[in-house]
Amino acid sequence: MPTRLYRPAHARITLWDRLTAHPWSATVVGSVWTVFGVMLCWTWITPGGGPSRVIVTLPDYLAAGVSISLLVAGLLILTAVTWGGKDSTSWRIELVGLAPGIAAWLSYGLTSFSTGSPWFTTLGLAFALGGLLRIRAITQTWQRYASVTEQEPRPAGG
Amino acid sequence: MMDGQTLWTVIQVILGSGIISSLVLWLTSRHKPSVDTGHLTVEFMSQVMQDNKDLRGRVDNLEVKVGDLQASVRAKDREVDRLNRDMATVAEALWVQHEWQENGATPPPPTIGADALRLLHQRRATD
Repeated sequence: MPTRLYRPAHARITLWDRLTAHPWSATVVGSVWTVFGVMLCWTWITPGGGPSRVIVTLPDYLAAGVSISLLVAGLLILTAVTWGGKDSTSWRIELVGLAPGIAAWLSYGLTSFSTGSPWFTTLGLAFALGGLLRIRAITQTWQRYASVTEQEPRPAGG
Repeated sequence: MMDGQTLWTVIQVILGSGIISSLVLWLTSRHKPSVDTGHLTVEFMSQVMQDNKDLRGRVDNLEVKVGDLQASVRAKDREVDRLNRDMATVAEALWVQHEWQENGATPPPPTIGADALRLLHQRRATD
């Protein structure tokens, strides 16, 4: 008789699970990152004309790097959230978007710190930490998924 | 506080790491299932059929239990009907006796309440 394939998990929900189990927040994060990316790009393209007072302290090429990274990251996360295909592809797109987004927020946070702007320093570091948590959540989900689907032995002839 | 040049170098490293991480994540996150999904599907369906069979057995057992309980309820209903009839007889007899007493008949005629008295004695004995 075949064993059950899908077993309910009876383990208690840990604080870590609660921290990493909020997929809806990806929509909010993607939107905020995109809006910030647009504002930073605006400031980068028209120095002195955009809303950011932090990004103008960077050289042009770094301002471009931070701005474009953040904008691309936000757009990729929104793409992942609205992806109509396979979940695994959606997660891959989100992972690809999270990495440059975290880098951009870290850079932005450090620049804010050097310019004496504690609010934007906190915001940047918080988003970077949140992005890292999200990456960990996705990879952890993958590991669990793999451990469940690969428990069953393959058929002898297959 | 870092000086400007150091900060820019750090930011370059961070941004470069972000891009490289992005590429590495894309390349390493490809999902390659090492299981035969057809085999899994067949096993899953087999499991569903077994569950279905088990559930049918449980439903059959429950139906037998329900039949027993319904028979028990019918027996109780019959008992209640019988008690109702007894009580109606007693009430009717007492009412007739009451009417005789109201009309000044003392003592009440012996013909009334014979069944009622029998039932009352019976009831006292069982209580």
